[in-house]
Amino acid sequence: MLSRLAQNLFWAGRYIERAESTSRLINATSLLLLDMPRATAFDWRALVEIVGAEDLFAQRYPDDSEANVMRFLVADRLHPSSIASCLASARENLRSARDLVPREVWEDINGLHLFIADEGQHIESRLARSRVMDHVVRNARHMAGLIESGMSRDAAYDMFMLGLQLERADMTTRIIDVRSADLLDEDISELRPYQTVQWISVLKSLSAFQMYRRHVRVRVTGAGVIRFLLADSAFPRSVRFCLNAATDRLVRLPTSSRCVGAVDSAVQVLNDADPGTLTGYRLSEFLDRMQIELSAINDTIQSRYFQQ
Amino acid sequence: MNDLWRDYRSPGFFDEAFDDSGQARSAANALVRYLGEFGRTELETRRAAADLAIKSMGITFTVYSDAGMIDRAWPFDILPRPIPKHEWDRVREGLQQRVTALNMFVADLYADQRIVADGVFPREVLAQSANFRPECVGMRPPGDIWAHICGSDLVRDGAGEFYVLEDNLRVPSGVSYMVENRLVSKRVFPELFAQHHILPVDDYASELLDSLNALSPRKDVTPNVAVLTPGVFNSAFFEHVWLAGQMGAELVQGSDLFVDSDDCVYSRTIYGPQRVDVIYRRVDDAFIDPEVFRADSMLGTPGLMRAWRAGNVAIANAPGAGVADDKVVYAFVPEIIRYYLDQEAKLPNVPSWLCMNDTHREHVLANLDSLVVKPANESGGYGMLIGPRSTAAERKQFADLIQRNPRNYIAQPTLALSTAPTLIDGSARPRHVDLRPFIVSRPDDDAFVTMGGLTRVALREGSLVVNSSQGGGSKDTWIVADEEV
Repeated sequence: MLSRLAQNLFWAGRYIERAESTSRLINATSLLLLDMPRATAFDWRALVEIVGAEDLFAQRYPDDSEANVMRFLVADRLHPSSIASCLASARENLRSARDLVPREVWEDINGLHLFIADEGQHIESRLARSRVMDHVVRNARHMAGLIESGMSRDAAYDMFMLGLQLERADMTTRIIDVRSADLLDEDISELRPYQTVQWISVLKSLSAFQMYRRHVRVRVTGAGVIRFLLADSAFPRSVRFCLNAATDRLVRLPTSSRCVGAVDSAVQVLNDADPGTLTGYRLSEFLDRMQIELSAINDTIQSRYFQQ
Repeated sequence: MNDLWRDYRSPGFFDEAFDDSGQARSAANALVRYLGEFGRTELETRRAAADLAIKSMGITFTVYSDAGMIDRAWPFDILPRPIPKHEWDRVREGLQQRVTALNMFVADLYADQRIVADGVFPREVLAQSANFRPECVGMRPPGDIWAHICGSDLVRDGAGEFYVLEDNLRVPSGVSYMVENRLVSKRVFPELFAQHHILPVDDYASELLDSLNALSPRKDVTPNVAVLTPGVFNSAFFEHVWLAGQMGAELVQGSDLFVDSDDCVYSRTIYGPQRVDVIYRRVDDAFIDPEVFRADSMLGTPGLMRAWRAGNVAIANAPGAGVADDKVVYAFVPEIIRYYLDQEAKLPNVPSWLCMNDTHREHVLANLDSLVVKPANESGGYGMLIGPRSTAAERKQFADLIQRNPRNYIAQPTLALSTAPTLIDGSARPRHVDLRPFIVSRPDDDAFVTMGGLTRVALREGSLVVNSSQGGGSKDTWIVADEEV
């Protein structure tokens, strides 16, 4: 397989996953708002922090109103991680590689790209926004399903899934990072009763609430949620699960020992920490470390397979 | 007979299916009889089935517009164009002769230039040729074959005689549509294929692969063949994907390849560099190697010419082969055949006036309203003047162009192109057609000629423009075995 096509598939996997997880995040946040006390001024900027684009946002928008943040995250084509930009990038990556994935995936990404270009403009109302976000999530799931059920387990599949798993791990750490920074601040006493609600929202933004309930079987607590999302070995969006899944793909690819080593190093970091006990700045430090590990995995794959 | 053939007449033109008295020609007889039993609804059902097949098979071509790039469904007319085999055999021999001579001509131009020294081909024509590549002088590709793949455009005149309109020796496209058209018509008219002996066309990719494999510089290993495409934005990208898929070759872009210090070409893969032995390139000469040709080319691979000259990679068509793909050279083809093969051309040229020749030019300038004027190096039907349909201003513009650069123009009489029945709004209507067969030249064998070729049809009434980018359509071309006729 040509390196260029491997790279196209890797990034298609990343971008489709990023569009999906951003949509999930927006929906979960909007739902959370309904449960919050009237008096709370919700800080929409947190969502911009999650995608790591504070500077770009500040340059492009005068204030962090809900409408501005939503436009930036959903439709702004000058923001490379907006849902519209992710879908456009996924489509460009799949254009050359379209013969390597099931034909319906190409049709789906075209449809979704056109959908968001149009519907992404009409997200002012929370109802419309929720419908648009649902559509993106469902279609992203549909594509993943087509790939899962229709694609031979070849290098093309491995590359796509590798991109997807890394992106998923990345988004999970970002969400925990930003949301826990808010939540663990014990000084905001008037929010304390709402903390459980907020942790549930974190779980929901990763579609993890139901599985948490089934597998953790204690009331939702910060420590429990953080442990579940980072270290659970059975939940597909936990960082540990994603790292293991990445290894499963890598061992099938040619001369991947350096890349496998990079993933092992991230797993080691996870094992060395006891995520459930981390709070405050120690959690924050740990998440930074994990981000660095994930970025090192990305770079190792990049240099091993794509740049020769 | 039903509505389909009622009132079908094509006065003044040779019709592919009916003779002047309105009788079906022998090769078309069975087809006409069969379709004559169809009702309007049945025909419409078949037409819809063809549309659906084209859509579901994903047969597209790409057009550019202000709004960007669009993939359009391939335009296909369900009524096939039958040609009797005995007629086709003569055409095939003519094409083989022609392409053999053209390859000898290109080989001569890059070697001793005997044809110029002997005064048969004017030195000044060569000197001004846009596609002559001095960088190729002295090269000897395997078997002295330069134009491995040629697509020649044929037309029939009013008397039904086949003429060669032009030879495309650079990167001719259309062969994928020829094969796909057959697949579509098999789905649409399976009964006809069961009853009649229509010769198959789908061996093209195997023949091409064999021919490309034979060019490999490495004889001890299975060659790695790559199809080099300019990329997804090229109008023929569908065909590039198709060719690579049919041959089991890798579809590459220039940036996927590199030339190492051993002057060999490698592709960048996740398994590491893989040696490439044969490149079927669908990128024009000027863009294949920025070290040698256009330095601004993003489509090529630096060092490719170096590897080719060192004999470490075969390139088809060979760089420089386009020198014979020039409408002025075209006018000399009968002389070229005589010179190299000592034979008369079996397939005639359309009579052509060369504007570089003083008396010819005077004739052309005096008769612009009745001639077709063509630039020497354009393709796709661009930059032409069709005299009988031109305005005075356009004729004035072409008169200026010709006087400024006479070498760049030839003129031909407007031909009464043959027509073929084409389904328009539920009835058969005569529409003009041409035919592009593909000829694959090989070092140790006669050239392979496709069974028929791609028939293109001008869908607008009276129009002669068959290019798909300009509203043309296509038809399945049937070479009908004579015992059935």
